[in-house]
Amino acid sequence: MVTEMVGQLNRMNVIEMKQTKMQSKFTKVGSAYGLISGITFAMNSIILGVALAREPFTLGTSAMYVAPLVAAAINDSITALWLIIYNAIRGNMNELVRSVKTKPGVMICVAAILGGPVAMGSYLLGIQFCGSAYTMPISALCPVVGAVLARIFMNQKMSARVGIGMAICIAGTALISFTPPEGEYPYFYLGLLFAFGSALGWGAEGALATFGMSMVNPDIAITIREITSGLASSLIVVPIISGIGMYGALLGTPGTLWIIAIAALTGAVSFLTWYKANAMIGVAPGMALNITYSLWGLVFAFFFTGVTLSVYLIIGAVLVTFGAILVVLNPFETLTKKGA
Amino acid sequence: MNKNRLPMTFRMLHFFSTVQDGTVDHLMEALKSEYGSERQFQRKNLSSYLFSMRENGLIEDSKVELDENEDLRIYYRITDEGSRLLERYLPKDWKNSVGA
Repeated sequence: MVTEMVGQLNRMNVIEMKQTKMQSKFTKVGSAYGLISGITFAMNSIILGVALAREPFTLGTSAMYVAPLVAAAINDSITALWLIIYNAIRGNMNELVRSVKTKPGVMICVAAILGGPVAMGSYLLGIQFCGSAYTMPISALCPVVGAVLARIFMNQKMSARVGIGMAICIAGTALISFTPPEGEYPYFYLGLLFAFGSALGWGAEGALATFGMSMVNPDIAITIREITSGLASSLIVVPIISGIGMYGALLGTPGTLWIIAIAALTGAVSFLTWYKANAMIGVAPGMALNITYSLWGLVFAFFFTGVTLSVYLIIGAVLVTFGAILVVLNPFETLTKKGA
Repeated sequence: MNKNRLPMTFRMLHFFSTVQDGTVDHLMEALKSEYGSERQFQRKNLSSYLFSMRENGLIEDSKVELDENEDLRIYYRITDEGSRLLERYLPKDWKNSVGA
């Protein structure tokens, strides 16, 4: 009898140990995906910034306004292509078609329009007018937007932690906007406004997509998102802003096109790993890790674009990142719960 | 044979609404006739997705035991949240034909 009980206890310990190990491995992999999504998104932003400084984006009197939106459209379209190739290799194409026909699939498409043409366009306009080093931290306010929308539309109460996180974000934003950078940025504040627009778009996308993503395979959800956003940007936005000429010229400029293709590859990796992280460790931690892109962005911007990083910018970016993380989760709780 | 095949991820959640609890092997047995020929239908993929569904609160652990190879055999069951989402998003023809 005692031997039996001891045997059972041993088995229970083994089971618990194996479960903890499995959970820990899953969490580590999910977290790694989250970090990778942040790093690769920063890479995508910087490389797009480089592309925007080249022809045909610099040609024409209204190039300054048109170029970022054309770049956003091509970036999303090529990202969609990379993701389709990935899904085709994995054997997911049937599942993709089936998923689009469902209600969550449609919600992903609507979210895609908010997060794609609207947010990405604003983001690139921000990069154009105030530089990537400033745009990234401001755009990282999107969880704040998400929290506000959740409060207004879904009656999700805002805890003290979220409120404090938001306050820190706003303080960080103020610090960043305080002093324009050296160099040619005549429309600096307009750029900041656009950067904030991208936070609005992505925040709204996040809130809506969370509903849609709960039942759809994350690899497929992100592919649906990029296809929708690429199509909407290319077929609706580009013609509206008279960007067809530039779009066509870009397709005939292999040098710049290749740079965007590489940017789109890093973008595809970023989106894939971001949605995977969301599925594996939850949307809030996934977003928190992804948001580190604004800090990675500073590092890359410093080394690859020769921008001068002011003290205000660095402190501000750190504050926004920390504040955004605080909005999505309690870092101390998460770190102690999930273990090392 | 349903005219509109569900995405496999939906069908997985639907499976758990039809049983008290089940393992990934029960799931594969039930879904083999519908998705068995697809490349995504692999034990590793389904196990991983079940883990994610649990992380997102759609299903929960019902019981856990060790199998003959001393590996974990996890039984999952649908949660209230999972049932709610299924009720909300399952297409009409599925709601009528198979008990959800």
